[in-house]
Amino acid sequence: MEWTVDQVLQLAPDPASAKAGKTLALARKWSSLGRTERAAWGECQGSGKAAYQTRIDLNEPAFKCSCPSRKFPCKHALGLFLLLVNQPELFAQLAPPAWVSDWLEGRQKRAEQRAGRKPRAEGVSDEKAQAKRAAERESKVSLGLDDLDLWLRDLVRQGLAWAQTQRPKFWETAAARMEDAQAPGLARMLQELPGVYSSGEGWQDRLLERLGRLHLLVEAYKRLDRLPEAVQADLRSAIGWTQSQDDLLAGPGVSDCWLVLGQRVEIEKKLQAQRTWLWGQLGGRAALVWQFAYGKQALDTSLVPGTALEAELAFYPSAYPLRALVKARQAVISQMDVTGGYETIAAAVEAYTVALSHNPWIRQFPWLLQNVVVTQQPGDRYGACDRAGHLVDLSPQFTHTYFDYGRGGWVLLALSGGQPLSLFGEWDGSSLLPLSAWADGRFVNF
Amino acid sequence: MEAWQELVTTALVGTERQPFKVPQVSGPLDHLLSQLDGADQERALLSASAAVASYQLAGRALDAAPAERQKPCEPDDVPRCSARAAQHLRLMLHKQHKELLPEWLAALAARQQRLPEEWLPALLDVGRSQADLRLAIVRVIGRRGQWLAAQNPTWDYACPGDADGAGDSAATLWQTGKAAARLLLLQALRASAPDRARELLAATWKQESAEDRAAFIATFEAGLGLADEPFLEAALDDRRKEVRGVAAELLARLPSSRLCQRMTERVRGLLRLEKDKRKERIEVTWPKACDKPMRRDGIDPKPLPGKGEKAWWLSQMLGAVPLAFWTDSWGLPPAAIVEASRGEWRSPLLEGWALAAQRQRQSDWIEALLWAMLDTKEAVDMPRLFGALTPGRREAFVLSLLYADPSLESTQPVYWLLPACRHPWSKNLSAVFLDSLYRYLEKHNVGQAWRLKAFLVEIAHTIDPALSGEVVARLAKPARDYGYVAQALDEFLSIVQFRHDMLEALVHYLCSSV
Repeated sequence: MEWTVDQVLQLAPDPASAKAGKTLALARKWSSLGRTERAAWGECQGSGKAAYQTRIDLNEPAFKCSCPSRKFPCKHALGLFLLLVNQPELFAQLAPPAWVSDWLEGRQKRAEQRAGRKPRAEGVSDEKAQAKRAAERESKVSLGLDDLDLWLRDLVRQGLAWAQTQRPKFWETAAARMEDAQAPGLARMLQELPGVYSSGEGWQDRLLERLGRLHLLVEAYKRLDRLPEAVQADLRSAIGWTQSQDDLLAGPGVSDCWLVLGQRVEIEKKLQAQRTWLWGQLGGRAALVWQFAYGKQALDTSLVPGTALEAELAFYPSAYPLRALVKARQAVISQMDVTGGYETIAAAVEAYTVALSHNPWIRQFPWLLQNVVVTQQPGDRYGACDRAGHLVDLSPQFTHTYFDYGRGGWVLLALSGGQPLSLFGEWDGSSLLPLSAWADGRFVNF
Repeated sequence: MEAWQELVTTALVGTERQPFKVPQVSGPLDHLLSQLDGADQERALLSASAAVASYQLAGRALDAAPAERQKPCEPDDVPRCSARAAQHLRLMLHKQHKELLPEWLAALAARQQRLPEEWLPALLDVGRSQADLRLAIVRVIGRRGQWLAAQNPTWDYACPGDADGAGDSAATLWQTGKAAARLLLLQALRASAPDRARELLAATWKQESAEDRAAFIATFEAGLGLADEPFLEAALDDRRKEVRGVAAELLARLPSSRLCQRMTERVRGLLRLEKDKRKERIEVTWPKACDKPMRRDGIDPKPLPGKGEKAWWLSQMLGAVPLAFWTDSWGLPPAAIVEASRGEWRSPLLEGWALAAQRQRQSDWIEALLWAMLDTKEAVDMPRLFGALTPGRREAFVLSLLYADPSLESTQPVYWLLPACRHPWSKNLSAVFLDSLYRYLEKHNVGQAWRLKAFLVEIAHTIDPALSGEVVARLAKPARDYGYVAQALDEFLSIVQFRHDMLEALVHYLCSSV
């Protein structure tokens, strides 16, 4: 369809963006302009060192830009679009570069999946292109990890105290390099590091733990071929390699009646990440459905905590499989009974230890604790006590946050009332983040 | 773990400044660490950190639960409200229709249901900042709520006190509770057993602080009776002005109190009924001074701006004289007396009698005064006077006006009378009002009716919610037709609908599956 200036400006999320977009709709701000029938792209020199890469899919329209703006569409996308409408002659019909075609292909695939069609049979040329891309990526990641290795060494040579005095750029650049190396998982881990400095007592220990974990990744990747396949898969997913969902869905699945026990959404710049935990009633194993949404996209709401779902899940390959996709769903049962899980804290910790020994990069481990009493501890902390006389700390991220119900710690205390209840949450090695509770025959989701 | 501390210290300072040596450990970890190449300092430090950190994470010792723990709460015997009702509570806590919360809480208590446990902290927090809701909240939190409140000092108003051991729980709470909880106790007791409340207060009266005395004596408003007279009479000599003021006010409401008798004596002879050409007239003699006994009895010597001094004293005095005195002395009904007050000095007379009628709840006098004021448009506090009528008589009064003239013009008295009916309306009044409303909306081009909004919103809170279905249906004309008033109508409808839904949701409670 033909776009007009007004229509493009209508897409702006607010008047400031529209104004900024207009100032960017000048030819001299852009380079590497190009288009195909359904897409257009360009590189804009922003305030940073690297140019921002902006792409537009003209069908929807949809936008993607590498700038850090949270707005959607950002001013670069608006500017590019306006430029396309006003001066189409600047955009030559070209073969799209990798950073455009990758994006378009991803969109195409997702659209087809949604429509339920099978992806078209891979031709020989596609395979070759795919293999080429895979090889390119491997080398990029490899180089990125070499970079990271040097950076880590530098860091421990100069000391963590020295690093504390560095400007935020120090960390941001390292993270950005990981993004460029197509290792978003590593980028995320690096982005979290500056926050550890302000996390309170014991920050040095926590920081060194994380650096150790990063180092483990780097070292492991050097020996990738010699590691068992399952470990390779874990390594890749920790680095941030995405696996094709089609291949996974085509593989074998695990059927069970799955309790949807908890959900947590974490928001990071433009990205929303949603973790939904399932617990198989018959098989007693846990599954994590991990979904993402960019910008204003809506998250999938088909899994509702407090319901039970008869479904077949396909697990991602791993030395300790947790992450899964819903392959096929049958019935949703709204009444559920929360049974299973760990009767003692010791049993839960043991399960965690076993998991860690298989996959040391597990971040959140699901715990379903039965028969625990919630208590208040000195220092405005809260804990859960089991019948065997042990205690686990409940994460202040929950207990000190205000929900609809009030402050988390008080809500749990109210639900427990000194009596045992069932508690489901994420264990990170030092504290439990409660996601839901089952008390007196009622499910309460946080 | 020592080895870990070594690693952390070195990492903090940096291997440049502090050479790193692979730490010695025992057990299987040692096997791993001994394989590290000590020459490559950075790598060795990082690898050792990775290994020891994982080791610690996996082999973490369990913390022991504290030996001393909170006593578990007794199970509640009252059912929880339904999930739908909890949804309404959620909306109200999110500031949507939050003024309906008192009505919801009262309905919940009336149906003998309680809050689900997870909502207790939020509602207890509400009670912290909104003291007028505390009594209502305490009635619906159940045993779990009291147990919870005992653990948070900011919720002490809801604590039942140290109720361990036998004995009168009210007395224990009175002796040991915090100020807020004691106040709530008094309020609750005055409603059911006012004498008991007075006994408790009298026992500790002398030791109470000045602020507490003022707050506590104010609770006597509920369940006020002649038995309270001696206590209040003594309180007229209290050191604090606020306490004296409240005592005087309350005594003025008891016609047989000594205060009222003293006031009657003072007023005797100041007003004389004269017969003048077949019409009665009241002659006024002004009081000479405002002496100490008068001030003790609550007469404020300083007049409000714009009022004459002596007129001010007279009207206050009249406010404390039993109205039966006038009807008995002159042998005339209230309406006639009010009629006879026409003249130059009508204002202070009407004001004084209005105050007396309000305090003594004399409906005949109130109605007579209201009619007089409506006729002559005297500027007196009519809404308060009107509010002193019983709900039944209020409705009768308003209905008589509505039947006579159903229009809802803002110049009509019904315009302020209807919102002053602050009680749950009967079906009859609701239906009659709605008829008037429909006719008003149909007849008028309501472009100018900006005052209608506040009017409608007030009424939405008291109209019978059972009529909500009908209201929605009849007012379903598209917004354009109603012009400016559309917004007001929308709000009116949404409030009425919400009240209907929330009360409906309380009919069924949540059955526990235990």
